[in-house]
Amino acid sequence: MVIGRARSAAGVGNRRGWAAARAGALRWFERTERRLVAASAVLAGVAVLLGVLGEVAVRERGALLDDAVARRGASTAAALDVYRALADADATSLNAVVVEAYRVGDERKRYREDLFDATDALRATASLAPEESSARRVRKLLDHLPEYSRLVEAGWGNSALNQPVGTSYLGQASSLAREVLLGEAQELHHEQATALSNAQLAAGRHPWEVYAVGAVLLVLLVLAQIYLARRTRRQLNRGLLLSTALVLAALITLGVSVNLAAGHAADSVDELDGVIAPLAKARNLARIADGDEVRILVFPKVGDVGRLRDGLDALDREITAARTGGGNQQRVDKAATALVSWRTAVAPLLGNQNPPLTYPEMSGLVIGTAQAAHAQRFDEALTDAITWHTADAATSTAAAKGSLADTDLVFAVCVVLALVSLGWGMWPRIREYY
Amino acid sequence: MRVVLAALAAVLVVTGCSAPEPVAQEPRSAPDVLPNGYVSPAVHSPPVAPCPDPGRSLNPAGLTRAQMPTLNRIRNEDKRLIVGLSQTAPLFSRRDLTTGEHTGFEVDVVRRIAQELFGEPLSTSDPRLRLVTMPTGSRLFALDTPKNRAVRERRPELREVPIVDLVIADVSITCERVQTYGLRYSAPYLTANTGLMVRRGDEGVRSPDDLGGREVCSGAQTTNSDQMIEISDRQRAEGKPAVIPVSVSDTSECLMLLQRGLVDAIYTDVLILEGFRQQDPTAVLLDYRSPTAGEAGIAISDEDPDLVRFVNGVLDRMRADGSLAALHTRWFGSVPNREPIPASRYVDP
Repeated sequence: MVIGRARSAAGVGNRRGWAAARAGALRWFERTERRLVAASAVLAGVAVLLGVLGEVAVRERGALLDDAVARRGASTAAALDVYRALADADATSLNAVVVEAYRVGDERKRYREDLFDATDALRATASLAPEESSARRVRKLLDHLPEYSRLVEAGWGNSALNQPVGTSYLGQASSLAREVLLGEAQELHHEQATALSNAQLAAGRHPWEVYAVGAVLLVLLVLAQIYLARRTRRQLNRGLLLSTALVLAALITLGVSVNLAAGHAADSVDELDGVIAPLAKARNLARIADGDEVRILVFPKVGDVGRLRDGLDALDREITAARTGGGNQQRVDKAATALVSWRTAVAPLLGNQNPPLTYPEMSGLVIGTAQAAHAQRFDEALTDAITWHTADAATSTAAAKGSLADTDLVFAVCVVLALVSLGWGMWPRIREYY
Repeated sequence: MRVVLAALAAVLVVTGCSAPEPVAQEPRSAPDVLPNGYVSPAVHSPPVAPCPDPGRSLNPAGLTRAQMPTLNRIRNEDKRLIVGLSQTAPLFSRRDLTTGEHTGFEVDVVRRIAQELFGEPLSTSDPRLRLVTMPTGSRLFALDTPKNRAVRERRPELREVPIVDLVIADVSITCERVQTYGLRYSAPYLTANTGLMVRRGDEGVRSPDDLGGREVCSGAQTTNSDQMIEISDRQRAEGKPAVIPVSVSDTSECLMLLQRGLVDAIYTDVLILEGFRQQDPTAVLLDYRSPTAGEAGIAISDEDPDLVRFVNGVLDRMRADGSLAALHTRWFGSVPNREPIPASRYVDP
């Protein structure tokens, strides 16, 4: 009971204290000059907040686009090179044991160059994309590459001596390439491509928090204008008017710049996702199909022919997707024509032939000059299209970055001038009352 | 105050002088790269209902001109004999990957069959004999039997396995294959014990009992793999260190695993092991032989009894004129203590 009474007494004391403080504050605000000082302080504070938020927003977007141009684009390209080099290595490692003797050296050289390219691209990816997930994939690929190389070299050595165990080594190497290396490389590329698209989309996102603070500042400026008009019987305060115009100009500049950047970034993302991604996938699938053909010859397994048939069908779909995604018609058509020729050349391999093809017939289809030429032409056409569209997407990204150029400076100048105008408008009125 | 300052200074000095902690490195090791279908420990193949001796074939004496539909088709309609064989079994059948040419004991046998079928010797490029490489693990689906046709309906991917008239690829004669594929065997043309192969330096090993705790490789779902599992079970029951049976989908992968140091021994047909030994001089074929021997026969569709009888007739003539023995010596002569060519056995007189 005693404690309850004490608590009740303390509560009454607190309420009295608050009431006294509130009454004191109201008394302080009864004088006009003090109200004007407080209003000026609030307006200046909100203006400073607007300036800081605007600067941060513009610089963040600029940094994202810089990162997209300088780092993500390069890491995506490097990850794509990893996949392509490994898929090509898989095909050439097998080609090297079935082609005529005079072509063996070229195939082996190409394989070793592929491995070098893959390692080089992995090194580039590791330095450009040090995030944990990418680093883990790079590490896994680097862990397996020495063993992959050993298996292929042992396969070649034994096959050169006509020892069938060479086929076991090459089969094991091919399985390693397809089930581990290419899977990791594909995920690595997917991660980098997604990060690149996300960075550009984030850069094109409007800074709504800046607009909100800007809107609040504009409302406060208008209210201040109305208050001054009533108190001083002057129609307009020129300082406040100019300040309002400058804040508005800052916000419009920011909005227009971000809008332009968003448009360019969206163009780049559309090109990356709608054209480059299907073309890159087609190029990778083509390398896999090339390897499938040789596998059918070297160590056939049930499902190989079906996989090759499905792979070639998938190539058709990816080319169509690139075309509908806005791919350069001339370049995509060139790839499509090469694909048709390739499919026609290897058609007998895909049917259930009865009687089955002889070895010379099969090897002619798989490693013959006509087939090799069509597959090579298809690869070249896709590389040309990918290179062209990648450059175009990079141009769009650079344009997005260009759209934000000097926006931070213009925004800062506008806000600083708005602050000066605010002082210019408010100070004479405050002084009048003192 | 002075005391506090002195203590603070001492702490700073000690902290500054202490050596930086090295970053602990994550312990890592080279990844093991193993073939698809590698199973350790190996699993016993499912039990098979017993059947009458599947090595007892159809007597060539029963072949009459009126009952030769398959032979007539091959000779007069198709004008070609299609044979499925292995490309990676040295001594039996191997293929030069560049030229595509097949060589081996089974290739010579099938050439003789084709020669008698078409009535004249055939050159290596003669289109009347088509040698086809079978997808690993699916070679017996290549026979056009009712059971295989039903499986092909259920599993469309098997339609890419080419249809052949006969398969000669060291096919062990077992009830399980007769029941699974609906095939019929020719009379056996080869007998082989199971042997043991190790790397050079392991010559102290005499039998599976000396391989306790070590990995021994065989083809999956083969009698060799089942035998090794039984040996392992026996060793465990006797309280001895047991071998670890390992299986792979293709026996030829065992040699690669032995060379890479991923298994310690190979347990399979001694004739296959001799082929491995010829490929790798550091592999040692031990004197150990399994107590039982397996037979190999030519697999043919059970809808082609005339072809079975014809093939048996050719094999009998090869036995009689000594050409089968000559081929056996030519290709397997280096195998110590090899089993002789088996005699033919027929279900009908």
